[in-house]
Amino acid sequence: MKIVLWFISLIALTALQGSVLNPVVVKGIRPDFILIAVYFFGAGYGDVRGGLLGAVIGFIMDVISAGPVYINIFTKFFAGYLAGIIDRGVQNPGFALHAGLLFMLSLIQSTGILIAYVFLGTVQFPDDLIYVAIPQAVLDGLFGGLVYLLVFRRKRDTVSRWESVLK
Amino acid sequence: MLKFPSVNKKILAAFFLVIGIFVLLSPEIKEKPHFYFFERPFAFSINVIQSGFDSIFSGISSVWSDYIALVNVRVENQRLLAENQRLQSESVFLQEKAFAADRLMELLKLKDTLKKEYIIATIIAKDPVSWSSAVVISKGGKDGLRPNMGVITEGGVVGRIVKTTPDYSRVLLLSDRNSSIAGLIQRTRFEGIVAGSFGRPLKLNYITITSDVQKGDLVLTSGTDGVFPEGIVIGRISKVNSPKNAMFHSIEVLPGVNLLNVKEVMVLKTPPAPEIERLLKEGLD
Repeated sequence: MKIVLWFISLIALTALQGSVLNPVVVKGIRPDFILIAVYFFGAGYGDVRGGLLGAVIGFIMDVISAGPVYINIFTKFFAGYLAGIIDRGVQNPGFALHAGLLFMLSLIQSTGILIAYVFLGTVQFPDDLIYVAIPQAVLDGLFGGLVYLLVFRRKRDTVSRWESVLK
Repeated sequence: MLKFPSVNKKILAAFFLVIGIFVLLSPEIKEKPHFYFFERPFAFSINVIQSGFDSIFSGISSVWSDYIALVNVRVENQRLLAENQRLQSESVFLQEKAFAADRLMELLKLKDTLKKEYIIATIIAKDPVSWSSAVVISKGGKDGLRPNMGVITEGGVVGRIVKTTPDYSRVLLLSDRNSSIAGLIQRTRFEGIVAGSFGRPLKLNYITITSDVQKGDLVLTSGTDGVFPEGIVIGRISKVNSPKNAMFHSIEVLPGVNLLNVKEVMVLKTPPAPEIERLLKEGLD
């Protein structure tokens, strides 16, 4: 049931991301709330589920975006999958770690988009990196960290998962 | 609680591969002027939700602007009354000039390119991805809108329709990297192509290095792209670079419309030029 709720929430979030109700825009760049949500889903439910849900939501995002290629299906799948893998080996992640990981994931996502644009012949290097990719990654990292503080922060086990498995 | 079926790594790898193939094929899907059967339900449902969000936003903002933000209205009203009087006298003068121009056009048998039928639409959503500049408007195929119709405001060009559903249309903004419009410099009539560039000024390409271009020159649509009629404002030249041994100027143009804050737009209900129509049909086949 929780997964269905997650899915419905993510659909609503996808609609909100592009809607006029979304107040968070910095010079035309919006934090990628879908990436942030898929990341936390992947971290909470594991790599496979994270990847699959990321792909579905990425596909919907691609449908409603004017981008020239279906790229979010790939990048969101990767984000959810990677979040699941990272979470397995991380102990007590805090604001800084979540923000840092989301910064990295956003940059990886932007690299994927840039590669697609290279093939399409529309890449504008280094402007794309300076004016879009890096500001986007900073926003994603900051908002991801903030979402963690406000929503997902909870007391975690002080013993790492590996240690508990060994015990 | 629902349980996901256990998916092993091989299935995941296969899934990864399928997604990869889909991504590689997607430019073909994306450039079509309509939505495919597998896209339609998602596009429709998300647009309906966004339309609901827009209604909520409009409600809140109208309460704010109609009741709360009425400070300084008296001063503003006095200023507007004075401006109205000035504009009325100016309007009479311009009407006289327009009548004279009409008479001359009639004499010269010139076609009036500025008289266009248009429809007003509201922007209900923006592109969810920062890499693309597009908006969704509240009018679609039911209202007679079709791909490649021009979208403008009183300030100038906004973009063109790229996809339509019966109730909504997607407009590719002037600032998108995949957007290009035929433009000309008003003062010298040199023609070029205005291309989008996200987060930065537009670029006016293919103006030869020997041409006279100055900062502050107005750039208008040239009408040769078959989408926009001649004479609509695109923007104003903000920077001109003329590198040595280059063939063309490097020109930056600031759009006439603040594309980040547009709320309502006018769609020019003129069918695209026959050549564009033909290309569109070829694309559909």
